[in-house]
Amino acid sequence: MNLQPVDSLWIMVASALVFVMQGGFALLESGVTRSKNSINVAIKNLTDLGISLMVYWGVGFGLMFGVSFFGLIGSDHFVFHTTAIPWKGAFFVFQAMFCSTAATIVSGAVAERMRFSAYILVTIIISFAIYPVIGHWIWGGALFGEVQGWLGRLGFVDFAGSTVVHSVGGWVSLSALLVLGPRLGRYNPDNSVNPISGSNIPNAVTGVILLWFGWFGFNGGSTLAMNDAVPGIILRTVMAAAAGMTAALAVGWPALKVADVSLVINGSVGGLVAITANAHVVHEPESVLIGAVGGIIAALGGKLLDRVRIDDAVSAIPAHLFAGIWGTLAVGLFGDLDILDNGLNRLQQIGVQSLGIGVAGLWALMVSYALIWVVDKIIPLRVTEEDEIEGLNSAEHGATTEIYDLYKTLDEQSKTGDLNLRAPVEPFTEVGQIASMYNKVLDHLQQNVVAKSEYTSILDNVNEGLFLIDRDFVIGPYYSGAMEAIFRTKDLAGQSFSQLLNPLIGTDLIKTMEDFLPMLFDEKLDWKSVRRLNPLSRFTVKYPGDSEDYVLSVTFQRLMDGSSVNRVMGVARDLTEQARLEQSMDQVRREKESEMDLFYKILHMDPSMLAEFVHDFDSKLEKMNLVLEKQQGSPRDVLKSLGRLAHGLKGEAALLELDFIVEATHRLESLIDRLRKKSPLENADFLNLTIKMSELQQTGQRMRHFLERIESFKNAFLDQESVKAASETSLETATEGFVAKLTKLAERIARDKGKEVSVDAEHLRLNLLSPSTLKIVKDILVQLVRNSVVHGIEDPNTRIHRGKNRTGKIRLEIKAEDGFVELRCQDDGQGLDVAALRKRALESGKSPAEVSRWGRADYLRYAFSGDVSTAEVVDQAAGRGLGMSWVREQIKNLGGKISVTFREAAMMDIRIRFPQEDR
Amino acid sequence: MKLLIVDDSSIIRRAIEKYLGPLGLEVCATASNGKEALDLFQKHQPDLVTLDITMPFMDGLSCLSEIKKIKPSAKVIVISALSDQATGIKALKLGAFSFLPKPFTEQQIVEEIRRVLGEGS
Amino acid sequence: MTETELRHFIDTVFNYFQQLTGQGPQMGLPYIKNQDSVVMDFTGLIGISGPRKGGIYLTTKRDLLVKMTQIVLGDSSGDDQVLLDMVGEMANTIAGNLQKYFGADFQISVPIVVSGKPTDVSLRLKPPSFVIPFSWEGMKACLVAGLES
Repeated sequence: MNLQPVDSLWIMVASALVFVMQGGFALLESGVTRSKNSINVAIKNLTDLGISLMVYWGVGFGLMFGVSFFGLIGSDHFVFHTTAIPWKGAFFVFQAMFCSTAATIVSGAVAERMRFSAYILVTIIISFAIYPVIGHWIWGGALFGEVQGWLGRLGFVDFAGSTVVHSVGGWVSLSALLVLGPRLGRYNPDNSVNPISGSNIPNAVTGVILLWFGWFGFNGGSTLAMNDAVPGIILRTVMAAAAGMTAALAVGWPALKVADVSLVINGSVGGLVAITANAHVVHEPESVLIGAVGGIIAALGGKLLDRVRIDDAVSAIPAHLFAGIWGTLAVGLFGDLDILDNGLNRLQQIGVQSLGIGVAGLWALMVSYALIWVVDKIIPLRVTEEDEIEGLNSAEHGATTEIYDLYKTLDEQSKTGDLNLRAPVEPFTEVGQIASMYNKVLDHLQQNVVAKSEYTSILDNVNEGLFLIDRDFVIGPYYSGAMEAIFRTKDLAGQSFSQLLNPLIGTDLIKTMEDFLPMLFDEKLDWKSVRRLNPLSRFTVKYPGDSEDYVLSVTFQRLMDGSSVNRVMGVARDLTEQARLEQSMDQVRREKESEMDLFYKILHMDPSMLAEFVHDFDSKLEKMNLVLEKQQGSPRDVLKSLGRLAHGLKGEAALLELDFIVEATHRLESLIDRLRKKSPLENADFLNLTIKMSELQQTGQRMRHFLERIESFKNAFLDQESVKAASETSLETATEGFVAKLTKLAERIARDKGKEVSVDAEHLRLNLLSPSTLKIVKDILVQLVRNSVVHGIEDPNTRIHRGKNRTGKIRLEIKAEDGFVELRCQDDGQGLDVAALRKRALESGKSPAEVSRWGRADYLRYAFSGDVSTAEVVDQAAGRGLGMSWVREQIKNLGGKISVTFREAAMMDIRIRFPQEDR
Repeated sequence: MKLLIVDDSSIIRRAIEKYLGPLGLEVCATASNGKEALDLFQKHQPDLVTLDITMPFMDGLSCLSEIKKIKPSAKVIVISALSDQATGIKALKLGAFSFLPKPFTEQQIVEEIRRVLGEGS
Repeated sequence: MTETELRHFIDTVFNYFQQLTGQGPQMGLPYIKNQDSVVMDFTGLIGISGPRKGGIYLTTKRDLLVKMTQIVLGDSSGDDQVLLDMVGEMANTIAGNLQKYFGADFQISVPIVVSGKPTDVSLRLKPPSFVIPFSWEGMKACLVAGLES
């Protein structure tokens, strides 16, 4: 065949354009796959170019275009070397590009999962056993300007390789995919498809444009001459591509509800593939129709494959195989029979085209599937799962991208939690910027985490259980490790604090706690009081499966946010050890609580206060005993009254700081409390109570003994002092001083009692007495005046009511006659309160019959008998009636007599007569 | 400032009266049980009440709620044993201003009253 | 005295009635007496010597003793002498049973029995004395004990 230079040039230019398609494929395929595989896809594109060229040069070209052996296979031109004929060189170059195109189609379909070595074998297979064979059947003889292949001779037409190139690439892709299987995670068990997004769509689009551009040469060069047909062919090629793209978008957009990028990419390619077989025999409108249908097939065919779980990564099969079949068939459907000029009618042409499609498909699919299956046995086609996940860039080529590096860092961190790792920062790339920002975030995070880890290490190491609760009493996420040990529960975060305690404590405490917890958050309540009332400041718990009691303490601190309480911090401690220690120490201390201690305490006390306390103590205990004896109401009612009395006792003891009594009464009170809670309550349970009470009574007796001893001490000292005083000062001054004191005493007592009194001591002639008598008389006077003020003189209101002056009068007189001294004390008070005395007498056990017979004298005798006092309130001023019995005794000592006259509500007059001693 | 002291123990009544004298409070009355306390409260309308909880006739809690009905602005200091925290909690809920556990010392009650009067910390 | 000891007193009294009559008494609330004493119609007193010096007495209402003599002796005459014997016997038995618990050191005297309201019955007892009232078939009695501890 003679070749004009312009033809030669055109074939070379067309070859170059087809070569550009390799770049187009590389961009397209790497663009629509993930970046972890992009390098692998790109490398496959380049590698298959080189390998396919080598194989095609060595064997493929000869098999395809060598002299035909019965139309089945070429038989020479192996290891192609150019002769002097330029045509053959140009023809080889152009055909070699086609072979590479067929081979490279596979790389996209099988992307992201196929082993590189296996892929090279597949490239060899396609370049050696598939493409050249089918190519010979259809195009064989072209080198010699005749038709030698058996299909070509039957009239099968495939202008630029819809079947030879594209369908063959598609069929082999299909075989490979059938062996390979879908990418990991592509299909869900329910057959739904997980989209895998492309890494670089702009690249993919550029790739498609390059393909489109390369197709000018693919179709335009297939004339193998620069003739008149070329422009038309290129025009139809362009129009078919445009129609394919447009149609795919028009149909796919509404169908998919989105202008998916794959529509325009696959639509364009599908249009181009479809026109390839027939560009020289159809007219432009037909080319548009053919392209449009091809585009739609290519764009939507992928959905069909997904149904049968064939995972074509770049839609190579729809675009190249399906559209290729359609294009080949379109020769028969739309081909201009005149131009075809092979003597076939349209039906025959369609038949031949269908036969070609079928035969080529069978060969390509069966042979490639068999060979790939064998290859798979030698070199597993598929990479390992780990490699597939990591990405083929790194696994197959050790190649990384900056995104990959970032990914690796993230992956490493997610596995190890090592925050010291930093992502590599590639300057001037977006990923580099992301990496650098990520590193900054990490810096901050690390700082916080380190700071936090310091807190948490504190929390892990303190012995106390520290925790926060919110307004719903839910425990916050950070709490000290001791918490879990104290409450014997794991994972407290998010648990309700009260729910945590409920199984460990009694129902009473649960109820109290439920009342108490909201108070922690009530800002209106006095915090100090709330804290005092904390029922958990010391409480006993019982853990499930542990019969021992444990003592815990939980104290609280409000955490204020402005003026409102946001959260409350709790500090829980296990006091069990401490409590046991305290208990044993208590025991020792109680044992050591000796009489000495009691003595010491009592010595330091205001005697009158103590006297009053002791009396009160005895009478309260007596009352308690009476409650038991009388037993009014149920045993529980009895306990209630007992509790109240015991409580009162304790309070008074505490006021005087008589700690040992406080403790004893406290134990009594606790015992009463325990009994009150006991169910069923038996009368025998009261035994312990009576024992405790009798112990207390004995304590009371001891105190009374002390008191008596102190009293006698005091009197002994007083005697000495007054003798001393008498000898040191003149009698006159001593006397004056005494009268002043006596008056003051009367006024002070009156004031204390809310009364008013004036003392008239004008006739109190103390100088009539001998020094020894004087001392006794002074003491008697003190008692008499006290008695008058406390028991005689009424409060001002009563006095006014009784028509008296509001100020009471006490008149004191001493006179001497007939060798006797008469001491007289008169007051205008209420006289003897007979009603009160009667009440006293009855209360102290005198029988009503006896008391009812009493006359005034009996009442008087009773009043001076030593165990009565009519003062309502027993206090410092009003002794205990002890005063009057003492007076009676003193008078006896003086050898004297006492006579009393009184008028109820009017007056009292006490006269004491005793023999006068010489001064 | 008028003060009403309610406690069934005469010793405690007297002690409080004595301790609080220097604070310039006018002790308008003392009562030994809840019923009496209520009558006296009605009569004197005091500003401050120290209230014992365990008392005969009418216990402190009922007394407290009645007091709060008569004069809500009255500040009530509940004085009771710590062993009876549940009652204290109820008292605070009923509107008691503060809670002072028994037994108390002179210093403690003086401080408490100062605090209630807003003098101390 | 300890609670266990007192409980033993109760058990002894209970067993006494339970065994003789098939009907145990009902216990009331115990209490203490220091000087004066609780005395009912008939009283049987047992003096105790040894380390636990003191005394125990059982004092009952007449009707209780009458019923007891009926059950024990089949005698329903209600004669005072019989009742006195009865109360002495009861006190003796109860004290004897207590001896098992307190040991041989717990030496018991012959019962002293009195009717009416003698004032010196409590003199043998070491205060404080613990009074354990009980009722049997609705009739009242008391066991009173005052022992040195």
